[in-house]
Amino acid sequence: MDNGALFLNALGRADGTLKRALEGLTREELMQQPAGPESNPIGWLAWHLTRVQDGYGSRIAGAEQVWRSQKWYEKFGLEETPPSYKPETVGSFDPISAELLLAYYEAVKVATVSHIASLSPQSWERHLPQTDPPRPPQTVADGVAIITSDNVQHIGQIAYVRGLIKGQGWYGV
Amino acid sequence: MDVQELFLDSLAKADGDLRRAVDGLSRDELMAQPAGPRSNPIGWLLWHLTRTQDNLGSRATGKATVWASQKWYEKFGLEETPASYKPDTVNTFDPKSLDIIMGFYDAVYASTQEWAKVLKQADFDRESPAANPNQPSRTVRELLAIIVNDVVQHVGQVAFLRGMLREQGWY
Repeated sequence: MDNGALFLNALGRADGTLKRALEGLTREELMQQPAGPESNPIGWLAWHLTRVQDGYGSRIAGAEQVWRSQKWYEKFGLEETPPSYKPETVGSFDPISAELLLAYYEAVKVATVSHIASLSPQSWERHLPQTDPPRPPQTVADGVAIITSDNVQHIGQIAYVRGLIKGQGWYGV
Repeated sequence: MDVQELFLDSLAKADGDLRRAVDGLSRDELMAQPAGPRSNPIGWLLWHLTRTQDNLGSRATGKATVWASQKWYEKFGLEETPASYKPDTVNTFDPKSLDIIMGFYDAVYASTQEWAKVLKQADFDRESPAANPNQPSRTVRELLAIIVNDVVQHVGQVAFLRGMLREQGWY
């Protein structure tokens, strides 16, 4: 088993949860802040985790972000370089619809799967291009572990916030 | 890079977030339900994510759980086979203290690191049947993915809940 297979298996399990957790949510529900002002709404969380995957995927592959190459910013009514949301402004992010969020997620995942599939065993130790502002050096392996940890945590949060909005209890209980 | 490195790396990144998220929490905060009745408190989430890691690790290795072998149930005042919590009873779980609940987490995480490091290529395809016959058999590779997915989702929830309790904003 290689790393890529473990990564895709873990991410695939989490995005099954993402799909169930977004299913049937209205735009209002996606923008709701049931945990109070400055708390992250489901729509913003779904967009943000996809942006993280897109950003790291692009740096891993040396390819353009799907956000830019497929002009997803137009569908979200944002600039190519979107605003940097803060706790005070996170409530203003407009996810448009659950379908659009999932479509952007799916488009990024297709790119990520292809980036990961094309990695040779040696390339996992390669350093990622530097960011602006600079961060500590990261390898491809770090980038993949960060996507996993970041995306899966946020998906867990989305499932929790859905429970807050819908009061639906546990799966299978 | 070996597969266990990615597995352990993903857990390690979530582990760093978890430690920041629980830092300084009191027993009352661990048992609070800021998301309302029937919602999962941080203490229960910590226990549950540790139990999942422990149970799946035991299944992958064929060894006893840390819960049983190190008698953690005594420290929590529970039976060796503890009650199955439901939304209506999740608030009754007593994590005792941050030190005890994180002590259990640390012990299981140490055990996970130990067994995962020595997995061989041939181990990944090994079938590992569930104790409960109603649950499907899994390969060790699937168990690794299930551990990452379950543990890391719950770590994200703990971090979100700390934000609800302490209103601390983003890192």
